[in-house]
Amino acid sequence: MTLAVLMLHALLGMFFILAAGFVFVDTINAREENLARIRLFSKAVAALMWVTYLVGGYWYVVHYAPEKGYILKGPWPFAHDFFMETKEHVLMGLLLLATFLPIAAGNDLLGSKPARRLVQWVTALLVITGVGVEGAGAIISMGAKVAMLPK
Amino acid sequence: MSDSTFNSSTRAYGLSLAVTSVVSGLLVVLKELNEGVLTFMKAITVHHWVTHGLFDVAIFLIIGAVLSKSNQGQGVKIDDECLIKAVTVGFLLGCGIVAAFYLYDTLKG
Repeated sequence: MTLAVLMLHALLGMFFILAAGFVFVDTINAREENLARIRLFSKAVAALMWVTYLVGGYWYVVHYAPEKGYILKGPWPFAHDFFMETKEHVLMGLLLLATFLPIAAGNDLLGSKPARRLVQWVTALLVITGVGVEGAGAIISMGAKVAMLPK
Repeated sequence: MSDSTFNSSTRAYGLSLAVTSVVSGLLVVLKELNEGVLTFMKAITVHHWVTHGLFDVAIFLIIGAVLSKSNQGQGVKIDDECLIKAVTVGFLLGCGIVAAFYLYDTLKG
């Protein structure tokens, strides 16, 4: 069950990145026909980020402590000291940025070039930071794995 | 300066996002360097991370709400390019403060 929660967190994070990338590309070709879709997917990005954050937060607060102990005693303590510490706090900025996306997408995307640029900047930052956070998650998992390998 | 194509919510919450990101990054440094702050944040909720997250969401919403009602209800004045730069730089700066602090802390040992 604990691992299922962790995998759900990673999976939802991947869906979040894909959805943000979709909004980025769709906004490049913004027109009357896809305007509603851009706004719908912008809301989906925010919703996915919130669920990812809450699921990951539950796992972090309730289940992470034993794994942290293993990582810190293992050969990769930086997996917690740098990657987990950075990930858990960058995630908060990511949450706010994703929450801002539907607000930004509510502007006149057809008539205003700056409005399209704002949505593209926001989604680009979401994708790049999201990939970085997913990568940090992989290093944290590896940090736990190498700590548990027989010496 | 006031000729923005963005609605008042976008201007207000965009600026709020920039400010909140930086404040959140600075709060990371503060709580890691000051045991009293960390203890206080742990005491408020079940975990300092939960308190930190609630604090971020609260100041994002409060600053955004205040800025959207400012200027006699028309919202804060900022031109489009400045807002795009503020959102981008504010977010990256917030992430940069966090990453730089923990990198320094990890290397220091």
